[in-house]
This record gives sequence, structure tokens and C-alpha cells, in this order.
Amino acid sequence: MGRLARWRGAALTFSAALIAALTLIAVIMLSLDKAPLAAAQRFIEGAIGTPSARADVVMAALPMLLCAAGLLLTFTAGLWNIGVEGQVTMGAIFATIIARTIPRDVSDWGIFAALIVPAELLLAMLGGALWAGVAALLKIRGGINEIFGGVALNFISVNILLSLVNGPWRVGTFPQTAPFAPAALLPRQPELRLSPLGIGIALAAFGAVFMALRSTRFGLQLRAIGRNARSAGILGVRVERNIFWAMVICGALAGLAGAFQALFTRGRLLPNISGGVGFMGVLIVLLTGVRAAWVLPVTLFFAVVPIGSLKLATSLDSAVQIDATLGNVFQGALVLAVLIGSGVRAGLAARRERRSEHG
Amino acid sequence: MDEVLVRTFADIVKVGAPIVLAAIGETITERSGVVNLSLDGSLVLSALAAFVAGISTDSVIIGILAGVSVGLAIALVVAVCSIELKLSQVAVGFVLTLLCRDLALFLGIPYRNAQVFPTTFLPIPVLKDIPVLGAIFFNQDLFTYLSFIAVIAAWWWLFRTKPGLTLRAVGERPQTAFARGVNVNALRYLYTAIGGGLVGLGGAAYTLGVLPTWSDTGVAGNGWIALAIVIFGGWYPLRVALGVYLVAGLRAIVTSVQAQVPPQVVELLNALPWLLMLLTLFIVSGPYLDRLLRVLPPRLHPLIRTVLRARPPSALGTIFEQEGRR
Amino acid sequence: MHVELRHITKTFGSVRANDALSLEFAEGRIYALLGENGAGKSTLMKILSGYQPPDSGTILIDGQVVTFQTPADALRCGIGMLHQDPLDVPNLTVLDNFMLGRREGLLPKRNAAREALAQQAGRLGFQLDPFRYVDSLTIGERQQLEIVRLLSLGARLLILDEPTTGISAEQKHALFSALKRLAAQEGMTIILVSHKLEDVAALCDEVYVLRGGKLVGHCQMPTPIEALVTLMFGQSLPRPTRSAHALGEEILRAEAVSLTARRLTVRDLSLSVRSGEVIGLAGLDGSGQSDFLRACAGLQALNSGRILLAGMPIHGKRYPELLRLGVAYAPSGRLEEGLVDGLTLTEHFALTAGNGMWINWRGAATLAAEQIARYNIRGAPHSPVQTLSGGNQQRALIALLPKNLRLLLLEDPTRGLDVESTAWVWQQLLARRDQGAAILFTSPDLDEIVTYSDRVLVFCEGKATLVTDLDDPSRNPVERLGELIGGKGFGGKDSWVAWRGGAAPR
Repeated sequence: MGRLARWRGAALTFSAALIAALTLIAVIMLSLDKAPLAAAQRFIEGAIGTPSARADVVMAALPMLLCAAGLLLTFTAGLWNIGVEGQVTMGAIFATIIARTIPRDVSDWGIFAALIVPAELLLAMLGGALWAGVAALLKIRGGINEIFGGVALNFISVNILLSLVNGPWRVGTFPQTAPFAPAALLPRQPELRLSPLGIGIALAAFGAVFMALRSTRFGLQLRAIGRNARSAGILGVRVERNIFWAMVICGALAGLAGAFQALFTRGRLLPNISGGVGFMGVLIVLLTGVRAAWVLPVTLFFAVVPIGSLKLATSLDSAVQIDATLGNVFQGALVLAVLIGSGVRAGLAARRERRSEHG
Repeated sequence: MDEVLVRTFADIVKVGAPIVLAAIGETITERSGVVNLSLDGSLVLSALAAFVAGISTDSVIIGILAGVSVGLAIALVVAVCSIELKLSQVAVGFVLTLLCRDLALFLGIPYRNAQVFPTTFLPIPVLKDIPVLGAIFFNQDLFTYLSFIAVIAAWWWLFRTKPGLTLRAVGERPQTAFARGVNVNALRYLYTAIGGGLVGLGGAAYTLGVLPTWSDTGVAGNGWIALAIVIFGGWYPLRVALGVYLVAGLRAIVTSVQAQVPPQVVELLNALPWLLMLLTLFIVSGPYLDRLLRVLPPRLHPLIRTVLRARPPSALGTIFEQEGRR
Repeated sequence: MHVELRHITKTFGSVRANDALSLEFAEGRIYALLGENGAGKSTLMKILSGYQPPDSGTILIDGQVVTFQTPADALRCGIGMLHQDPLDVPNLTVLDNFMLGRREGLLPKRNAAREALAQQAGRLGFQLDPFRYVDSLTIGERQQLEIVRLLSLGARLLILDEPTTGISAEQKHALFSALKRLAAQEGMTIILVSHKLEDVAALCDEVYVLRGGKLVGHCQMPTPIEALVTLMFGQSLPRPTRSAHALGEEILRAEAVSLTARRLTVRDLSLSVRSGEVIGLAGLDGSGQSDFLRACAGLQALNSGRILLAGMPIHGKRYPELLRLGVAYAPSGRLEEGLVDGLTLTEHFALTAGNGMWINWRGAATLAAEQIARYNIRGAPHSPVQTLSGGNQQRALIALLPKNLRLLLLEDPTRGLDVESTAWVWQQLLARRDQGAAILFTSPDLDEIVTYSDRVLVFCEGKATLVTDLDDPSRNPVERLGELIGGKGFGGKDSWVAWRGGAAPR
């Protein structure tokens, strides 16, 4: 099958899945006496109608892109790094270790003021990498499937987070830290809530993963491991070492995503700091079928959903006002529909092949 | 025996019932070679369905039926995607986990902590008067009894009946089962559906029995616990039930000390079941058990294998296709 | 029961596996279905036993046309098949396996089944413990269980697919005498699918020979073996001969090695291998020969003892390190272990050749093209390996072996290959040997071991015995090895068991 035919098939599958997921959402809205078409219009306007909305979409996409980039490595090696959520959380916690100690006024810090954010980001990467390293060691040394190790570590990281914001780090009546000082936050443009540094880091990370998968030995070895770890070992690939590093790099990128959440999106540490960006990354990578080239557009599309949903949720018009959770339902339904669509397409292709074989 | 202790044990058995139902359901499904990873989402969505149906009809039976149907329907999606479309069971299960949870969160908004469903407390005459055991096992609600029945029935079916032998063979080596006249994929549909139904029953047990109200936070996470316990239980129903009661017991201990310690410590204690899970998975699936077996006398091996080792059904997660018959 | 196949045709893709085959099997007779790999024997027998439907053609039992949807249908009509790898459930007990597939109610009649098992087994002279787990049995015992089971379910025609591969001489003897008794006394029809002529000569009354999906011969035994060979291959084959060659210094040394195999523990294994030497490892499936190979490759831990590579202990080194030191391991399953499904040939060469972080794709493609030409692989650099045929996959594996080889560890190197491919593979391997590599290989085929080995290490019941004088003209070496792997021949009576353990005084 040619490249063009593959693209056309994939586009067809995606369109059909999109229609199916939208239909589900429309049915749900109609059953709740809402106006789907008006809501759709408001959703699109709210998400990409204004420059500031578009800026919000871009910034919302960054943590997802970081997670998706890391997960491209692990999925390529056949690893289900479900623990990515916990790695995001640990990243946020580790970034907070520095961020909460930064005073509002750092004018006399001189050159050191410029090191605050890099230090926070590095520590966040360390935190995420640490958590991923634990999951990797549990898998390699303990024979614990990375899915279960990851899930357990996700819950444990949430417990650690809750313990911190309920205890030593708590400021005020709610379980959360105080807002971080401006110098501790990711630098942003005043008018648009855009952070060029953040965009640069995320794109650089994604580009590095893209290149690693395309033209490095590491990327090829991960592909071999993902296809058949035993054979890869026989061909001389150090399977365990590669698995470990894929997990750790993914964890570092997820930790970076956590830092973005704490140092940009929220501006403080609070419960549910990850906001589900890790699982969002999993959905993105599943939707693309672990193809790096498609991750960027799909991530932008996925970032539109929460921004638009939020506009609907805060709308005063009761005909379109609806809880933002519906956006997550849409994303899940879309990915499921794409998976099913790709399965149907593969089945049809196999059947066609058999027919031509017999004819 | 101390009355407080008896009450604690009775509580553990009751609180564990939904997880027992879900874990036994998953055990049956996985014994046939299918992984239904959607457990956490299934549990939450069926809990909501059971609650809504139960509260609007005032009938626990209709509530149960609603919960079971939802669990069964989700399991069938996994089965169809795996058997007909040959998709990865893990991928479909994981996406369903998120989708069902989000759907339940969204649809459940109007019911959030709205009302309490009256529990069906059913002390069994005569048996409940047995000292200690009666108070723990026979002075319970409907769902707790159903969880006992599920454990015993699953054990009996798997290891004492003809169809149970066939089920084990389907999960171990489907090619052999096929050669012996078994319709492998039909059985996989059947047992995935039964397993899903039990998961749905587990969901109903939360909102109609244990909680008994709609609260997503009271349910979410337990599906993952159940999935891990299936491994800890080595796909043996009795060991699975024991695993559930261990976790429930640990939680009961945490609850009982909750009032005496500061909140940050409580949150850390809540991580204990997960640490226990990692530890036990480490013991049952790591390479260390085999090393232990190597030094122990061979006479102890069968015992240790059944009590400690966890070996998944050989064909777990694979797709069965009959060669040459495409 | 009289079974007739009429004009059976089956096509896979562009290959016509069975081309209008018509055969007849009469009651009480033992047939051989001869042919080399790929001749269409297995396909025909799968059709007869209900695993695959034919594209066209009919099966008649006692003159009635029958069609089978499943193997269970065929068994109900009295046709049972014993597979080379017995189709049972290893993780269940013998009794559970015996009961699986019996048509009875909800509750199994365990005691009745146990009696039936004991009675059937006793009738055939087999001993089967109903409570043993099948994964602890030998292939031979698993075959016995399957035969007992098929007979108890009313099989009147028994198909045996390569039954003598991987079983001991003793088990083969028991099997053949049971089969003869079944045919002579109970009127059973037996079909032996094989490419081993000595088995056919020992057992069968009539022979059908297939070649390229066509029936090329039907003769009554006894027929001279040369005639059968000519029918099988279309020509008579010269027997490959072993050439003498110089040995170098010691490459591999095993000292008092003990390791755990699937069914047993091998103890006190000592061996010294010099460069240029070929050592065959013989033994029943699971007796430790594969495990020893894996241990030499750093893929399996030893219980005790040590293995030295050119004087350096390999303990703690993993396979990728040993590979860099010139040790290559090739497992028997080509695609399952050894090649990566989904990667192209170029990607395989990129993976194995060169170092450094970045991959030179153009260089890898050039290398792949060179190796494809050199090893005569039918495929392109961008072909995914799973699209290659079995023989070409084997060639690709050999092409992927590193250049500076010192020790080659091969598990069943010619599994599933036809005669021509087998000869080619060994030609390549012996070329490596001539460059100074030592070769250790396992094979269930004793002919292959006798043909290519300088010395043979026989694994039996936890002991490893070295056999050096294979050229002794007074006895048939294949028979001798067959007795040894069955557990006979120990105790010093036979002079040709030169010594146990220690280095070779060559």
C-alpha cells in the first residue's frame, strides 16, 4: 500500500471516528435539553476565536506534548507507562521544593535569579525520572508489569502530594501552597499568557524524541524491543538497560510537564496538580498509533477540548452551559472510535488481500 | 472474642465485598485468556447506573440489573474489539477505563451525594447465632452474601466441573481446546461477559450496599486494586478473596487510627495498601520465588507454588485464530 | 475402517500444497506418508484430521462422503491425529488432559476416567501417572498420553506426525510395538508421517511418497531405501562427509557445571572445546542441552561450576558483552527468537553492525544489499523479515552473525528446513568453522548430529557424557546415540563411552 493510500485511509478512519464521537456528545446533550449546535459554535469561538484563547490552547498543549513525547519512547519499546501521571505529579512536587522558598522580591539575587526557573525544571525532571526509574526497576528486577507498578506509584504520588499540601506545605484554609512568587514562575508575556521559554522547551523535547526515534541507535533498539524483546536480546540489544532509559527519559519529560502545571498553569501546588495531562498523553499516543509525526497536530486538537469545554462550563446561557467533564468523555470516545476504526480497516484490508489471493 | 474485633472483621468482609465481586469476575475473564483492563471505569459507571436505577425505582433488584448490564456491556466491547477486530486488549481496556470514569463523573453530577439508598440487611436465621463466625459472615447485607457465593461458585466451577476444566484449557492453550471440540471464541465471549457482569455487580454493591450513595471518589481506584489482586491471587478464587480481605483489613486499620494522627500522616497511611500491593506482586511474580524454590526441598514445592506463585494463564491477552481456516 | 481421499487440493497463496491427491488407507495396515519438508504431508493430514478444510476434493469413510468442520468432528468419525508437539495443555495434570474434550455432563467422572486411563495405558504397555503435571513429562510420555486419549475416544485411524523426533530409543521401541499390536490385533489403521526412512522401514506395510504437493509413489514394503530416496527427492543424494581439519587452541571450557533444565538438573558437566571443533549436543527434549547452550551465551545462570571463554570466566557477563567477544547464539525459532518481526533487513543490519549514537541508514542499506547478494537471500533491503520464507530467514540470521566469530552456539540450526537449505546452512557454518570458530549445536535429529559433529555430548538424566569415537565402524552411531539418550549404555561396559568429563585428550 502506498504512502498516499495509507494517509487517505488514516484520514478516513479519523473522520469517521470524529463523527461517531461528536454524535455521542450530541445525543448526551440533547438528552439533557441542551443545544448541541449552539454549544459547538460557542465551543469553537471560545477555544480558537480570540488570540488569547489561542494562546491558552498552545499553553495547555505543552504539558500534553511533553508527556506524549516521553510516551512515544516507552510505547515504541512496548511499555505501557501508565505511571506517567505519577511522574507528572512528582515533577510538580519537586519543582515546588524550590518554588515555594522563592521570596517575592529577588531583585538583589543578581545572576542567581536567572537560575531559579532552570533549577526548578531540572529538579522536576529529576523527580519524574526518579518515579519512572522506580517503575522500571520494579519491572526489570521484580517482574512487576509496568501497568500495575505505574498505577500503584500513581496513587502513592497522589498520597504524597495530599500529605504535603495538607501538612507542611499548607498555607491558608484550603489544602494548597501559597501562590508562587513571580520569579519562581515560568516567564510569560504579560498580554497573552504565552511563555516562549515553555514553548521552546516543549518543542525542543519533542524534536529530540522525534530525531531519537528516527535516526539514533537508541530509537532503533527501542523499536526492536517493542516488536520482540527476546529477539532484540539475541541480536545484541541490551534490553533491560534500554527499557530503563526509555522509562527514565519519559519520566523526566513528564516531570517537566508537572513543573509546567505547577509553575505556569496553576502557579501553586494543589491537589490534582497533574490535571490528567499524563493520561491525556497516553490517549494522544494511542490515537496516533505511536507515530511521532502525527503527535503535534493531535496534541493541539486535544488542547482545544479543555479550553473550549471550560468556556461552555462557565457560560451563563443554560442552553449551552455544561460541565467540562464532557470534554474528557469526548476525547475518550474519540480515541476508542479511532482504535475500533483502525481495527475494522485492518480487517477489511486482510479480507481484500485474501480475496485477491484466491482470485 | 473481643466484640470490637468481631465488628471490625464483619466490616472488612462487608467493605471488601465489591472488590471481591470485581476481582472474581476478572479472574474468570482472565482464566479464559482475555484481559479486561477497563475494571476501574466499569466499576464506577456500573455503580452509577445501579444507583440511578435503584433510587428511581426503589428496587434493589432493578438497581443490580442495571449495574450488571453496564458491566456486561463494557466487557462485551472489550471482547468484540479483541476477538473480532484483533485490537490490543490493553489499549481498549485502558481507553475504556478513562472513558467510563469520565462518563460516570459527568452523568453523575445531578446525583452527587444526593440521597442514601436503604441497604438490604439480611441476617440469616440460625446461622447468625453461631458464635463469632455468625456475626462476621451471616449478619450481613445482600451483596456480602453474593460475594461469598461468587468466590465459592468460581472455585467450584473452575476446579470441580467439566466446563471449568474446559475454561482453564481455553486460557492455557486455546489450540488444544479447539482440537478437543471447544468453540474457543464463543467461550471467551461468554466468560468475558460473566466476568463483566460480576464487575457490574461489584459496582452496584458500592452504591447500593457499602456507601450506599453515589460518590465517584468512593469507588474509583478500587478497580485497579481488584486487577492487582487477581495477580496476587494467582488466578485462584480463594487466594483472590484472601487478598481482598488483606487490603480491606489494612484500610480498616488506617480508618481506626485516623482520628488520632494529623491529616498529613493519614494521607501517607492511605498509600499503605498500594505499597502492600507492590510488595506482594514483587514476591509472587519476581524471580526471587524461583530462587527460594531452588533451595527448599522439593516436597515443599507444590505447596509454595499454589500458595505463593502467580503464573498467568499462558494464553492471557492473546488472540485465537484457527490456522488455515482464515 | 476404510478411508479414502479423492482429489484433495489445497492452495496457500501461490503455493499449491496439495495437488489433486488421491490416497487410500485400509483397515489394519500401517502406512507411511513420506516426503521432505514442504512436500505437503502435514497439510494433507491436517485436512484428513479436520484442522483445515480442503479447497476441493472429498474424504470417504467406508464409502460414505464425510466433511469435518473441526478436529473434534474428525475424531467422532474415528480419525485421530497425534502432533509432533503433542497438542495438550502443559499446565494441567495427566488426568485433566485425559478428560478434557470428553463429552459428559457438568460434573466429571474422575474415578471412571482414571480407570479408563489406566486400562488403556496398560493395554498399550504405557505407564502414566494421572496426577503428574504434563509439563513435567517427556515428549514421549506426552505422546503416549495423547495416543491413549485418542483411542479411548474411539479413534480407528491414528495419524502420527514425526513421532520419533525427540524421544528415546526405548520410547520409540515401546511406541512401535504398541502400534504394531493395534494394527494387527484390533484392525486399527495407522499413518506415520515422516521423513525418516529407518522408521518407515521398521514399522510400515505401505508407503505413499509426496513431492511438491503431488503423489509420486505408492509402494509396498519392503522397498529398498535407495528407491524411496529417489522418489522423495527425484534423485539419489550423496551422503555428506566430514572433512578433517586442524584444531586451534582452547576456546571454551566448562568446569563442573551444574544447571537447572526444564525437567531436571544437570550436574558435574565438564567440557573443553578447541577452535575449529564441532560438538553436537544430543538428548531428549528438555534434558539440559539447550540450557547449556544458553548458559554458554550468558543467557542462563549456573547453579555451580564455571564456564570460561578463552580462559576468562563469563560469570556475570550478559549476552551483548559476550557477543562483542565473538560468541554468537542462534535459537531455533527463527522469527520468534532471532529476527524481529516488523523490522526490515536494513534495520536488522543497522542494529547489529556498527556502534555510535547515530545510525548511518545509507551505509546500513548498502551492507544489507551486499549481504543479500552474498548469502543469496530472496528479499530486498527494505523487506520486513516476516515476509521472507523460512529458508531465507535462516539465511538472514546467518548473514547477521558477526565477522570475528570465536564460538557459535546453535539451537536446532536447521529446524523446518528442506534438504537443500539444510545443506546450504551447514556449508556456511562449516566455513565459519574453517575460519577458526568452534561450534556447539543441538538437534533432535541424531543423523544431523552424527554427520557434522567431531564429538558428541549426550545429555541424559542429569548427566552429560562425551562420545568421541563416532567413526567406529563396528556399530551404527545413530543407534548408539539413540540408546544413550534413552538412558541405556552407561556403566562402562561399552568401550566407546570413552570417559566422562574432563578435557578432550585429542
